[in-house]
Amino acid sequence: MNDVVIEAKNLKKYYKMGETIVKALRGANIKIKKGSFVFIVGPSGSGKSTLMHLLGALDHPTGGSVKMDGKEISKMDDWELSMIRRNKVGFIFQTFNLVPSLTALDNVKLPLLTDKRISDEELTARAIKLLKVVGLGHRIYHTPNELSGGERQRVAIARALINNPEIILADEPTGELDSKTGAEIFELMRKMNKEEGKTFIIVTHDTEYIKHNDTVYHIKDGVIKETSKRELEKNGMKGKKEIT
Amino acid sequence: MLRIAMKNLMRNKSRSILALVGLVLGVTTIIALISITVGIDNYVTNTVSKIKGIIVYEKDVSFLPLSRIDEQTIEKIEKIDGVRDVAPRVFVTVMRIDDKGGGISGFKEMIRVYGIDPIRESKTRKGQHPLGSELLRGRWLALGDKYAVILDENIADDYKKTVGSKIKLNDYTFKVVGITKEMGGMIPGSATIPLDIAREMAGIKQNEVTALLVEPDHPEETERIADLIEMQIDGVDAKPTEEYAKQIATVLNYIDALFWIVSSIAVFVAGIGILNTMLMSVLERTKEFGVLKAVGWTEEDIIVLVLSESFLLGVIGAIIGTLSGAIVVEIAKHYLGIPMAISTNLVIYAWCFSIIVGVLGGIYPAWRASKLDPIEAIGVG
Repeated sequence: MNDVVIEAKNLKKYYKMGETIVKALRGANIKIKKGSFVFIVGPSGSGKSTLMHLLGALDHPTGGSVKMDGKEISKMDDWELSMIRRNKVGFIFQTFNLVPSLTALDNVKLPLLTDKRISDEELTARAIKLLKVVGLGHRIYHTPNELSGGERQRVAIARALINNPEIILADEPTGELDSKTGAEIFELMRKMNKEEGKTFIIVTHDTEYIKHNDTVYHIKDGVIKETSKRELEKNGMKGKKEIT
Repeated sequence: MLRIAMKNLMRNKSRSILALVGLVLGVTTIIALISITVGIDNYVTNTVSKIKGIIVYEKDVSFLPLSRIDEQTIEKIEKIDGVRDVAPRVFVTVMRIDDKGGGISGFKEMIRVYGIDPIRESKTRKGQHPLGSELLRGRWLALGDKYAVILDENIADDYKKTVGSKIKLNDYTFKVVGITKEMGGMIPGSATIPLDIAREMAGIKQNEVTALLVEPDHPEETERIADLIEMQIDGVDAKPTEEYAKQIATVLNYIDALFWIVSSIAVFVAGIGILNTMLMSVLERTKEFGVLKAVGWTEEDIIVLVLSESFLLGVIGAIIGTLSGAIVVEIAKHYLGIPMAISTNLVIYAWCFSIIVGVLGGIYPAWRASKLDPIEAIGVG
């Protein structure tokens, strides 16, 4: 099973909210193959973000296991998790989360800025190359507020790729974008998936960009079921964008 | 990292500036107070205490160069029993020599210049230089000399002057008539010029002088004669020069104590300022630190970033504070008319102060930032 990049077994995550305990995940199982392009869908509050955090080495589960490249990460300490995130994971967020005072270039460099293994010249060269790959070769020295939403998300994608990660986790990556720009962003992510062989795990409640042969996991009440676009449509999850 | 830290500081300029105010005030106070104290101290040690005898100056004057005494006082004092000699002095502060100097350049281009009355000096000192120094070349000042100057060898060497050369002191050009042995002390040299020209340079009236030096017949009577002068002459203070120096030293001790108090308050205020600024800045950037953690920054990386920011505040505070301290010293120099300089040690001390306060103020905010939970910080879910 060498081609499994990440595997969660019987994953549980409980939160305390005052007196009550919220069971966000109650024994979720998922197995993601290297180089796949996977969707996780579900209504808000279904536990999809929690799953994302656990798969992305951002949080510790209450129970169960998460294995990345066959290595158990659920019991690691904060420092080890930081290293996992630095070396193996790239994040793309709904609100881009770029640092407003820094140029596109510096934002892309940010994850590895404190990494002694890479020189600044090398890091800069890699960042510029990535910005060109995402189509922002002409925007390298612009700050986020000089960029459009779509361009910002492209910067974020380049940032997610700077550490050459195996897994890219995208949390509602098109949530803040119009349909056309959203489609472009998906096109770019699919290109990265195909050309660079990166594993993409995309959390969304927006089925518009899912293709019929994509792997789709539906998360509901803290458990995961594999499904497909066709099935989702049958059950009434429409590809309607939320306007915020 | 420092570049990123600098950019972060530039994001909220007014807040960074507010944080700097405390630091800048602290550094300015340290630099200005110490330089002024040391300046006054050196001046007193180099002028007054070098002269043996009694110094007579205007009653209750706050600072010796500001003293004015009527020339007729000389004759009144001469009549007192036990007084051997009374010599008038006009103090001139020279800050430009041969049109050089005058900036924040410290002791260079600053010398002590005294206006003297050659007749009175030579009457009882029997050819001795008025300041007790030995004549090396040339001659003493004589009656009828106008733009004539006696330099000590220190100045003569520095400015390559010999007997017969011209030297420009402030706006006046003098001819060197004599060169004496050097006097020593922190201020590199002294020059002696005729009384009238000194008055003109110092801008004091024709019948006035800065102070009088009184020599008693017997050195052991110095204190008694000083008391007699104070009792018999209105409007003057008379102090044995040693006592005068001691008095100044006491005042300087008070200034010193004041300095430590102000310094401690400055540390406290500046520290709180930095702490507040950095804490606000960190809380405002919660999400950003969350992202940094999410993309693999460790707690240590974040601590280093925040401390770099507060370290930079410290450095900027030190730079501005040193400059404004130098300006205050320049102003004090102008009003007090005495040489002052900012020593390297002092600048190092002030810089350490500013940077240490900066970094200390950043420790708690840095720790807070490093402990942020990335999930809560990013705020998704």
